[in-house]
Amino acid sequence: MKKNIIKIYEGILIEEDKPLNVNQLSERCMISKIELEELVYEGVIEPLEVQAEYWSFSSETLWRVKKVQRLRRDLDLNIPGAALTMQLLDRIEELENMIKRHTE
Amino acid sequence: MEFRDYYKTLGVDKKADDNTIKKAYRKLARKYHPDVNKEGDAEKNFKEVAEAYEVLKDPEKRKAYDEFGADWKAGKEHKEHQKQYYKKYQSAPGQGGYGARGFDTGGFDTGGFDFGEAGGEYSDFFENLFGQRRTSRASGGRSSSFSRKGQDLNASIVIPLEDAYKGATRMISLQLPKIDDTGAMTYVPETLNVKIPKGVHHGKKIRLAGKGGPGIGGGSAGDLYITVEYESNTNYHVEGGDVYINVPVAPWEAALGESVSVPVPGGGIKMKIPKGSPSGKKLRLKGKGIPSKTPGDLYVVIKIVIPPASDEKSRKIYEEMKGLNFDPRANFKI
Repeated sequence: MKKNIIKIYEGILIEEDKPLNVNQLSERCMISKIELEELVYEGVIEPLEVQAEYWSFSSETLWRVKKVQRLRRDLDLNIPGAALTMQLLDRIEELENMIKRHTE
Repeated sequence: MEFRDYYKTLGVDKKADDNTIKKAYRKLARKYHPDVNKEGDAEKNFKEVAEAYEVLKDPEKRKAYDEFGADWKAGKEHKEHQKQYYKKYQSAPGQGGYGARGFDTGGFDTGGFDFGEAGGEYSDFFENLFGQRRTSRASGGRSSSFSRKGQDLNASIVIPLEDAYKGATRMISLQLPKIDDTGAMTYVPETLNVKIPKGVHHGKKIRLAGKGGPGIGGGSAGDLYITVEYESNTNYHVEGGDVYINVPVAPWEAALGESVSVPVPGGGIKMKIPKGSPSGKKLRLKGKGIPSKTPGDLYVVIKIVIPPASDEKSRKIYEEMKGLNFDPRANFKI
């Protein structure tokens, strides 16, 4: 009888994942480096060290940038519009978490 | 498979001009966009709206839809329509033009949705009318100089709190994109056993390298990201690494002090309730929260539960307590 081998996949927790540099972030999110710079100046994403010669970003930044890209594409937003949307979505999430804590 | 009325989806008239269609799309997209609307139906609704707009915003596709879509029937006829469509509007299916150009919306997967033209998920109706999207690998010739990493996918898994304490292996079922023999992108159901690392926090993501969409033109496969969520339960909540457990306590246990057992994930503990504990009092157990290098704390929150005065005995006890000369509103002021 054929033995069933169950493969178990082990992933990497992305907070422990390697930081991404500008090139990687730009390629993975299909965004130009100039636009990434704009997102930093708009406060949507933050480099690990602003003063560093070459910026690097936490791997969680990937998800923020992807979200920005979806919003821009699907809702025809420009970068300041997407930045405001992100800020409001963050605020909503924060408030929802607060409500959840107080209704338990 | 059923006919899709794209005009109805967008709520516009068949004669609507491009501007009206765009306006209708934007309004619905803002309402249903899964990044904005967290309700269960939002993503499904958004996909329908996006598909309708994909067709109606493009004069060629709209014309083909108007011509062939409305009298679409199951069976052989639709193949004929597809052929006619290609003959009329495209050079040949999967060659240059249509295939390599790709769609600029869509690109969804089961557990969430993602950016990119590397994969799309449209209704059967759409695919029968316009054909399946082909990857550039299948569209021949031109692909040599073009390669790209496959699409990253999103999924989520709900775990009991205990898994975060001990780690576990959980099964997750999802649809993973594959390229079939004809070069078309299809979604294949797959079950993966995924290791949940000990100490994972709520909302964090696990990356499985290479389990995302297939790479294009020799590019490497994308990654699969799994968002871990804790099961919601009214008896506890978690803030970062700190765990708050509500422990129901009888009034006399709180007043006189008592040892009670608390079902902490990873093994129950005995906890001494100090004499005179008010409801809501928090007892901290340092380092007993979610494990990590700097583990969170566990807070046992006392929740006093009063017995109902439903029988003679309990009524009598409550009556007796009236003689306690206790004023609950002694410091009550507004």
